Amino acid sequence: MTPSALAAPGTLPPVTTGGRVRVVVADDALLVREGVQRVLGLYPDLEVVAVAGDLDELLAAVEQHRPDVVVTDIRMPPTSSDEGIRAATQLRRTAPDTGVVVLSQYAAPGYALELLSGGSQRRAYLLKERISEPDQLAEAVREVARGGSVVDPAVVEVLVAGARPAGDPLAGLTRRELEVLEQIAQGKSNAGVAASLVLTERAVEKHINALFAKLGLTAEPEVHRRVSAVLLYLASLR
Amino acid sequence: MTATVPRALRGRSPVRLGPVGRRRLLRTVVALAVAVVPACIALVVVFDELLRDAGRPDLTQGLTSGVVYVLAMVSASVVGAGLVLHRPRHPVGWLFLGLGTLQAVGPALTGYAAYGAIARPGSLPLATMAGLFADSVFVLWFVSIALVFHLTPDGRALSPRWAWAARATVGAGLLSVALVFLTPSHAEPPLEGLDNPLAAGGAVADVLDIARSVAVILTGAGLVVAAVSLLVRFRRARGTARQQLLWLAPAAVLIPVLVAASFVASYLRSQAVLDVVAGLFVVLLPIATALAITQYHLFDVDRILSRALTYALLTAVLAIVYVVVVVAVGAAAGGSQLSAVVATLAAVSVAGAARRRLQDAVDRRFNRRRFDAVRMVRHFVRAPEPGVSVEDVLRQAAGDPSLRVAYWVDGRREWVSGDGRPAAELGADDVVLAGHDRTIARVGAGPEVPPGLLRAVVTEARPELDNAGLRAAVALQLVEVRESRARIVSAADASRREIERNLHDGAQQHLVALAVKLGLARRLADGDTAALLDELRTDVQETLTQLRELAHGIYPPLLREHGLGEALRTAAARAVRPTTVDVATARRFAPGAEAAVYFCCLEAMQNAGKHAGDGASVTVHVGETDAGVEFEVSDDGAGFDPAVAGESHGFVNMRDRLGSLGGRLTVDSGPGRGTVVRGTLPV
Repeated sequence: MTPSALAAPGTLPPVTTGGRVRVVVADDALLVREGVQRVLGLYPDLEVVAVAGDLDELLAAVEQHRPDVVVTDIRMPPTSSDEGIRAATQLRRTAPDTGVVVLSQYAAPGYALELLSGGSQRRAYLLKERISEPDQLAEAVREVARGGSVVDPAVVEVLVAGARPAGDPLAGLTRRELEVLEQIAQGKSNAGVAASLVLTERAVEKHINALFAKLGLTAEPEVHRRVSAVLLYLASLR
Repeated sequence: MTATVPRALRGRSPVRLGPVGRRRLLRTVVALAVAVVPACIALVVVFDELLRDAGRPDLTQGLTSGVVYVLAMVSASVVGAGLVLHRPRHPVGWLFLGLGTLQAVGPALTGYAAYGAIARPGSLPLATMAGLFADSVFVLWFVSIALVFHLTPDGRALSPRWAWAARATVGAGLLSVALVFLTPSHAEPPLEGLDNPLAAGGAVADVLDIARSVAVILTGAGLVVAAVSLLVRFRRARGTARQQLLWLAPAAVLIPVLVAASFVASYLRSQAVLDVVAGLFVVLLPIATALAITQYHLFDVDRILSRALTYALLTAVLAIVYVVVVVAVGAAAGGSQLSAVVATLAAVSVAGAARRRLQDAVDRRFNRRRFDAVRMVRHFVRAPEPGVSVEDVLRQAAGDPSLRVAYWVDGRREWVSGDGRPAAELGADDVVLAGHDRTIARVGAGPEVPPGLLRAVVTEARPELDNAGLRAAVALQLVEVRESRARIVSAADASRREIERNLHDGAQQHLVALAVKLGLARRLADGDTAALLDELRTDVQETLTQLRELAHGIYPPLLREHGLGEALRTAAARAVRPTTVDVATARRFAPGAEAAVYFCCLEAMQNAGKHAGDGASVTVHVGETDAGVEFEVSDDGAGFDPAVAGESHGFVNMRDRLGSLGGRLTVDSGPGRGTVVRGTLPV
C-alpha cells in the first residue's frame, strides 16, 4: 500500500509522533528479535526504541517508552504459553493508545479470537513467517498504529474453512463473496480488498453488502468494527 | 489379637492320612476301647447274677446309679472315640477314651472282686487286687478330668507353671493308686469286706495310710486347680477361644459344687444324689469338651448358655429361699406342712423378680447383640448375596457404617482396601484376622462397637474375608497396571510437550530467522537472484507450515491454554472430511483427561478421514455426564467390520489412553452404516 492509500475511506488518520512510529520488540529468541529489528529498520517511518526478552521486560519497556506499537512473540517467559496475548490484554487498560502486533507460530483461531476479544482496534495477529515479508510486517505495524486491525490470512482460512456443518450460512455465499469475507476478516479496508482481489472498490462494496445481508450482519462503517463482527460471526459458526 | 480358625467354618478339611497301616491301627485301638464299655456292662450283669446265685444279693451293684454310670461311660467313650478319630493328635480325645474305659472297668472289677474275694474267696485269681484297684479307680477319673481341664481347648497347658500343676496331679493320683495296694483296705461297699494281704503293718501302715489320704486329697485339689486353670484361661481368652471355653467354663464352675455336693451326700448318706449329680456331670463334661474342641456351632452357645445359666441360677435362688424359709419357719412353728406352704409362697413371690434380675446379669455376660450380629454374618457366608460386599454385611452386623476392612497382600507386604487402594493406617483397636499360614485382613470399627462383637463377626466372616482379600489382591494389581499405564501415557504426553516445545523454540525459530534473512537478502538483490531468493523464502515458509502442523499434531499448546473446545475445533478445521464439533461443556478437566479425549477424538477423526470415504461427514461431540466426560466421534461413511479392523493400532492407542485413566471405549460400526466411536472417562 502507498501512503496515499492510507487516507482512503474506511481507514483512520495515522497516529504518529513526529511522523515516526515508535516500536518495542519483544521475543525470547534472539534470532527472531534481531530479524524483526532489521526488518523494521528498513523503513524510515518506523523506529525500534526498545527490545524485551520476556513479559516483564516488555511491560517495563512500554511503561518507560510509551511506544506506538508493540511487536511481541506470543510465547515468552515466564510461562512460555500466551504472554503476548496477556500483554495485549493488560495494555488495553494501561496503555490504550499502544497498538499490539502478536507474532505467533500457531495458526489456531483461538489465539487470534482471544487477542481480539476485547475489541479488534489496534491489534494484529500474524504468523511469525510474515516477518520474512518485510512489507507485510511493516504494513501491519502501521495499520495498528492507525487504530486498525490485521488478522493473518492463514488464520482466517482456518476459521472460514473450519466447521462446515449442514445448514452452514457460509454455504449460501458465492465463491467471490467468500473471498471478500476472508479479506475483510483479515482486517483489510475496501481498498485493500480491492487491491488483493483485483477488483474495483465499487465491486467490493457490492459484494460486501450482499454477503452481509446473507449473513444477517449489519454493514459496519469502521474497518476494525467490521473485522470484529466478521470474526465473531465466523467464530460462532465453529 | 489373632482370631483362630473356627473349624466349623473351614469346611471339611480332608483328614490327613498317614500311612494306611497307622490309620487302621488307630481305628482298631479306638474300636477296642469303645468295645470295653458293653463288655464291662455285660460282666457286671454276669457277676450280679453269680452273686445272687451265691446267696449274696447284698453284694450286687444295683441299677439305681447304674443308668447314670452307663450314660457317663458311653458318653466319655463315644466322645473320646470321635475326637481321637477326628483329631488324633489332640490329647483330650485319648483322655476321654481312657476315662470311659476306666469307668467301665471299675464296676466290672468290683463285681469280679465281690464274687472272687468275698462271696467265693479264692474262686478267681487276683480278685483282691482287682477289688483294691476298682476301689481306687475314681482317683484316676479325677486325674483324667483334671488333665481335660488343663488341656482344653488347644491340647496344651495354659503355661509351664500350670503344666507343673497338671503333672503334680497325675503324680499324686498314681501315688494314691499305688499306695492302695500297700495299705489296709478302706473299700466302700460292696467291697468293705476286702482284706489286703499286701498291706504293711504297724507304724509303717499308719504312715502309708496317711500318705495315701494326702495323695487322694492332693489329687482332688489338683482337680480344683485344673478347674481354676480353665477359668483363668476363660477370663484371658478373647474371641473364638473364649467362645470355645464357654462350653466348659460352667463345667469347671460346677467342680466346687460337685465337691460340696459330695460332702452333703456323704453327710446325708444319700449315695443316690451324689451318683446322679456326679454322673450327670461326667456325662455332660465330654460332650461340652467335644463341642469346645470341634468348635461346633460355636456361637449358638451364647444363647443356650445364657438361658440355661439363668434358670440354673434361678433354681439355686429359689432352693435357697425355700430351704431358709423351711428351716426358719420350721424352727418357729414346728409344723412341716405350714413351713412347706410358706416356703413355697416365698419362693414363688421372688421368682419373677429374680428371673429378670438374673437374666439381665447373664445377658450382660452373654450378649444378644453379638449373637444376632454373628447370625447375620453367618447367613451371608452361607448364602452370599450378589452386589453385597462382606464389608457391607460387617458394617450392618456391627451397626457401624464407618467400619473399614483392609486386606493383607502377602506378596506385597502391604494392606489394601477392597478395591485395591492403599489402606489407612492400622488402628490401635483393629481386629486382625490371621489364617494358619498368613494374615488375612484387619477390621477397624468405631469405639461404640464392643471389641468382642467385632472379633466375633470378623471370625465368622472369615471365608468371605478370605475371598475378598484375594479379590483385593487382584484389584491392587489392576490398580497398579492402570497406574503404570497412566504413567506411560503421561510420560508420553510429557515427551510430546517437550518435543513440541523444542520444535517451537528451536527449529521453528531458526527457520523464521532464516526466512527473515532471505527476505532481507531478497530486497538487496535483483533479477534472477531475487527470483531465486523469493523461491527459497517460499520454500522455507512451506517448511515452516509443515513444521507447524507437525508440532501441533504432536501436542497442541492450544489444548492446555484454551481447552477441548478450541483445540478440537482447530483440529476439525484441518480435517480431511467436513467436521462439526460440538463441545457441550466449558469445564476444564485434568490435563491428562483432556489430552486423552483430544487425542482419541483426533485419532477417530483421522480414521474417518482415511476410511470413511468421500462425501462422508464427521460429527464430534464432547459432553459432561455424572460420571465424568464423554465423547463421540461419528461419521456417515463406509464403516467397517469391527471383527476385522476393530483392534487396529489406532483403537489400541485410544483404549490405552482411556484405560489408563479408568475410562472405556466402544466402537460401533458395520459395512455401509458409518462408524461411531464413543468414550467415557471418569474425572
